[in-house]
Amino acid sequence: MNPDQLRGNLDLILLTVLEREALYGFRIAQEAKTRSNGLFDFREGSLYPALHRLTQAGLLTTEDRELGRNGKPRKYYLITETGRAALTTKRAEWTLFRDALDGLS
Amino acid sequence: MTDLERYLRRATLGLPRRQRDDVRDELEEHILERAAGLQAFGMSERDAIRHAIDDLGPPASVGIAMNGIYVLPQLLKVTALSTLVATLGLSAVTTSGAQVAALTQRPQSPTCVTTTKPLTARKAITVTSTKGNVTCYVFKDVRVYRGLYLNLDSLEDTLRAKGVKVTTQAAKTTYLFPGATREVTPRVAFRKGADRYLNILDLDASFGPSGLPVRVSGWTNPTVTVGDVSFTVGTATSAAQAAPLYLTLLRAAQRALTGSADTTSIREDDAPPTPKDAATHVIHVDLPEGTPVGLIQRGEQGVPFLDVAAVQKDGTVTLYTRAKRLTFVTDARQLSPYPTGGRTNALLVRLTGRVTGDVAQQYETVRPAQATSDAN
Repeated sequence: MNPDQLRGNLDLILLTVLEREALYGFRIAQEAKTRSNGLFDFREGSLYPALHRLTQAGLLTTEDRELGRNGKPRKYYLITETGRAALTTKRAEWTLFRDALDGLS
Repeated sequence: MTDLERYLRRATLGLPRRQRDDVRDELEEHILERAAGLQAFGMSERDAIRHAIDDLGPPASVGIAMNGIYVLPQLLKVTALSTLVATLGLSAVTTSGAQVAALTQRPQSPTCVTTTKPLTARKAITVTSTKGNVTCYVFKDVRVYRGLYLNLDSLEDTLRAKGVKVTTQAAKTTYLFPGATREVTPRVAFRKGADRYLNILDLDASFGPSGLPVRVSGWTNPTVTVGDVSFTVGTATSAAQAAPLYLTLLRAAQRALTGSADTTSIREDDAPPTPKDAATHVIHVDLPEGTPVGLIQRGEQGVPFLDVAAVQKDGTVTLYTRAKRLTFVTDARQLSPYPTGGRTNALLVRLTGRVTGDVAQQYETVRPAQATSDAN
């Protein structure tokens, strides 16, 4: 997937991954890659600013859990109710966009 | 400072303490976990960490984005952006943001040829597949795949921040540089995963059509300038050497000077050649440190022999030739494979770093401090 397209959809990808279970950064990157069959092969560094932005916006919240390899608690991201609502809206927008595209072809 | 510490410091530059620690811990955990996975496949710890860092992309991209979330919104409320950038030392972040990630080795993807009889393994190649008359092979010598390749995603992030209009339409990406007469399309040398790479040797072909002058300066992590836009190739964690580009520019200068298309060079590798293969000349040129200086000498059968290196702090440049005793000339017509009075003629040129335009503007002949040189 081309980078511009990916950047625009990163929020949607992250919310979708976290909809099912709370995960920490590295696992989120892996999940996004595996569950999309490698199509979402983004620069992993771009993930963290996106996660922090979504947290600041109230769509995600964080929780410190088990200790990681660096001896510090791993930061898990959880989707909030606002996040779920946003995901529903974003999905609807996406379906609308896809239907519109199908109509064009 | 280790690669890991350097990356973490740069990715969190300018952030308030609490967020800095937070982001730092998170990135550190990511790198250590990715590295552990790679080590399980037999990679050394150091390489695994480097690899994990490369996968994260340029640290400044993370740093700038995080600053955008935590620092700028608060600050914009109180004062103008320009003053802030200066007060906060954010300029450090912005400058390092002009770094473009690069690879010094391309993937060893097979070359396929159609032959009347299938090819079998030979000294230089390993056959990877044979189907009918089509044989695919890779070169055994990894040096074949060396070079300097710019990550186009990283380049595009940098260019956007510098006012270049980057447009992607139907898988074709174009750049419109400020002041350019035409849009340009970068040449993709190869892809690795989702990333596209530009060979540094294609700078002219990629950016020349913009009508703007393209220049290169520096040796390690060179700076490329297109019109008024500059960026640095390579990052602190992965140093990039401009040698392949300078050798190509020297070849072009040599062709213009001697008219010969064939050239040879000993310095194909990072390691210096052994004294058996080459004579080492330390030549005083009194040019600024980092200036690329090339040597042209005619070898046996008249084939020009080339070498290029950067001027050192003390004003000397170390170059390799086949001849132990040299006399420097400034006219290419005096270059002869046959020694006169025990000395072989050689010519020195300074590369101006111009990549586009007339080849005559890409070099200047140099007269060294001493008219002769004896190999060490």
